[in-house]
Amino acid sequence: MKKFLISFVIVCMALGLAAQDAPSWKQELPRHDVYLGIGDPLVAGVLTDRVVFFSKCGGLFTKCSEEYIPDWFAVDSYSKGLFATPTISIGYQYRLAKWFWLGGTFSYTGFYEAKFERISNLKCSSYNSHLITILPEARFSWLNKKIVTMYSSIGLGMAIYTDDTYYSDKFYTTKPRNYDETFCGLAFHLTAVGIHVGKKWYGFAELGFGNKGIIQAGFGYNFNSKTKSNQ
Amino acid sequence: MIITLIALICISCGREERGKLTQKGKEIHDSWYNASRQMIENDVIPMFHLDVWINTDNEDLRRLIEDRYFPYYRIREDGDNVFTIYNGANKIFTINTYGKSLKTNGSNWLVTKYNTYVENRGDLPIFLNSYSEGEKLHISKSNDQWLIQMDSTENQGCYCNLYIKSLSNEGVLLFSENYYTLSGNGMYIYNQNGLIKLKFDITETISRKWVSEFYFHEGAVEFEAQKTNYENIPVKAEYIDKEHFRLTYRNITEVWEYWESSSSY
Repeated sequence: MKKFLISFVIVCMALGLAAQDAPSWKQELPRHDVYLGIGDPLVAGVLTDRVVFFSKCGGLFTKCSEEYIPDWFAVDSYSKGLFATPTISIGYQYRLAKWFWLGGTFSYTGFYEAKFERISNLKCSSYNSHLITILPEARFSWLNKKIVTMYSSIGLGMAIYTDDTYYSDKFYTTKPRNYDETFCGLAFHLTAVGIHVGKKWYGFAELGFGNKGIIQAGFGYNFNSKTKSNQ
Repeated sequence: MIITLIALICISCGREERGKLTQKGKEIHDSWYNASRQMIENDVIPMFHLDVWINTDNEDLRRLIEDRYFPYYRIREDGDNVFTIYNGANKIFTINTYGKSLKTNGSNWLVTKYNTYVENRGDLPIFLNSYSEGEKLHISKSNDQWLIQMDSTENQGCYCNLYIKSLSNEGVLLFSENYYTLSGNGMYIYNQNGLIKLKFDITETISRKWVSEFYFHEGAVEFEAQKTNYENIPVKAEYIDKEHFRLTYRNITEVWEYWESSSSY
């Protein structure tokens, strides 16, 4: 009990010290941040098993597959390419302290692939997949200047994955023509380092790992900031 | 600028080439070829070397055969014309010669193979996927060639009747190199999301007469893959030379080089 009381007093003193700086950063630094960014779809592709790095194990929503067994009577098909959108993210962050933000991001990545029967070269199947991520995030800015901000962040949330598959009746007699599936799973993102450059309008770039991609860049806007110029 | 770059990078990936149209036919051919060649060269031809080892009193010749053809194995005589070949502690073959040399007309050896390591592979016939006994073969001499018979009741439904003749003779040693001719027919069964029967018929005698790791050098084989509720798949392979063979699959004919692999794998 004594140890708890001592720890509580120390935390209160630290917050008190921080509060003493409050008036200066609230006047000089922005408090609201909205942004639009695009990132690579690589991690989203691996998580949804659209991009396979390991031969046996798929993504977040699929189990590790058994050893490959050939099937001579399966449709012999090939893919003309997997098409993916970049991961598009929109988000908002609110600055609670000079170094601490809370907010969230909404992201989307889309995939499309069509397969063609090898001999006839006719389309035999295709799918449209959509990965939607809802990610509450905490940001820690460790360099806070008027024009430049550098930070790291962590987010943990939910991902919804929908898959709409089409099978041609000409080649698949036992599969349904259209097959829709929806999955839910955990989403995460860790930004190792990010940088904002600008005052009200700014550009940003991030390097991290998770549902938003490995590299992300975009632009944003700081509003309702109580700067000295507004007073 | 960075946004544009990322957007361009993210457009497309994972493109596959259409490649040769007969790839599935090559898969079918290769599965038969690998199983048959393994059976002939690893299971049948060593029996001819064992035959010389059994029927000679010359210790130098016995040692030569052991060192050249059975370097990692031990041959044990179990009595009653039965011999066992071991690899370490693992039994690999049991052979019943019934007291006759393979060079004798009327000989009929029973060779039982034991699989010590098995993978669940749909590209190998089920007699090579058994966890205990592998194939059971009967080898008998018929004039100047030998009949290799696999009985369906002893091999989980697989059978074959193949005639083999040696193309290399070094004195008493038949099949001293892996040069031979092959003819006959049979059926192998595969397990690929359901049982598949692969019937084969060697329509022109196959021969293997050069040192080459890949394929046969002349001859032709016709196959028919059968699966319940599916249309049969006919395939034909014609060996042109030691580097090429012609494959016909679903009425499409293409020439393959021995080093090409089908992208389906």
